[in-house]
Amino acid sequence: MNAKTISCVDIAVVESARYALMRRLGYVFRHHLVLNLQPLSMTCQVMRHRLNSVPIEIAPLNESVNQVERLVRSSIESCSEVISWLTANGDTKVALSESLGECLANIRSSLSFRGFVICYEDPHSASPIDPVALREVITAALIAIADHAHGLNEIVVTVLDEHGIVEITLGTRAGTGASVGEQNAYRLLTWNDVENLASFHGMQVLRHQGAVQIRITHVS
Amino acid sequence: MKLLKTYIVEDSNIIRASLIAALEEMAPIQVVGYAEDEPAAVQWLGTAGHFADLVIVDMFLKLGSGLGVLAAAKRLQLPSILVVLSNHATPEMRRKCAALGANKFYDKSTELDALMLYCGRLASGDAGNTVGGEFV
Repeated sequence: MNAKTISCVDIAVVESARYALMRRLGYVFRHHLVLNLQPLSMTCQVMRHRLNSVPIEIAPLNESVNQVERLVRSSIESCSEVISWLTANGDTKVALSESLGECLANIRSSLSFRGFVICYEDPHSASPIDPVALREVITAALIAIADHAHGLNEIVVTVLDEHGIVEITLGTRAGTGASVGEQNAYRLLTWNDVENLASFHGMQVLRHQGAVQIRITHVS
Repeated sequence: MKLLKTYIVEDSNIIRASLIAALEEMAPIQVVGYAEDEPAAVQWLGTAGHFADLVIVDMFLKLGSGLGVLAAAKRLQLPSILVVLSNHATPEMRRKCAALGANKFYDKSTELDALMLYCGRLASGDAGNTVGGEFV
């Protein structure tokens, strides 16, 4: 789907929602960018320590250099993944399970920090999905749920995939512990944000009794 | 110099492995265990017979948070030194951790050197003079 098919949606509100979502994901992106750089820094400290030891032993130094090489390669991959996330245009479709799993993995620790638990069983669906659309809508919906949870802190993700229609339901219920509100956030995400993003990508969002259902049709 | 028994709460495999390797090579530290999430950390810390001189805690975990670990340590009245090592080094987070009894707070991106120095001095009984890891 693209903007040409949804001319009824004001592109400005979609862009507003997308910008707010990106701002809210700042720490998630940061985490991915520094994930391999911090171990690289630690490894360099160890290497310096080994260089300062007397006598210098070559084998442990070689081991450090190999570790640096591995971490540099992983860092390049992490940076590329983040940039791909930000600049992907939806030309390539991927399996629903893969895309949904990626969305949940990205946001899990951020929601966990706020006291939320995500309950999810992989549906093992190979249905081809636009990953850009899914990551924007699902991630925005999860953040919006957390922003407006009112004490419910378990998010149950279920998937129905049949007859060319995918329905992803994000239910909420009270679990152990307590959720906490987002403090110092750029702004809370609203249901309008989620609905505007979904409309842009040709998806439907239904809210019923605390659950959010995201419906994707013409999946093939 | 005695070995400092240390427990690590960190959910990233790669960061945890590098941190353990660096700590054990550069400071008189023996890592006695680790957890990837709050429930596992709280269970280990609360088990009779388990002891750590030093607990290093990340804030963002697979389940729960480092704040929950600090709160549990406070509730259990652990004698351990509690050190936060986090990417989320905002003034507000530092204040929250201090209120929950953390002894030091280090920014994972910029203060690793200071953490290593602190651990070394802690083991030598000279941690009081360590610069870095303050809450403000």
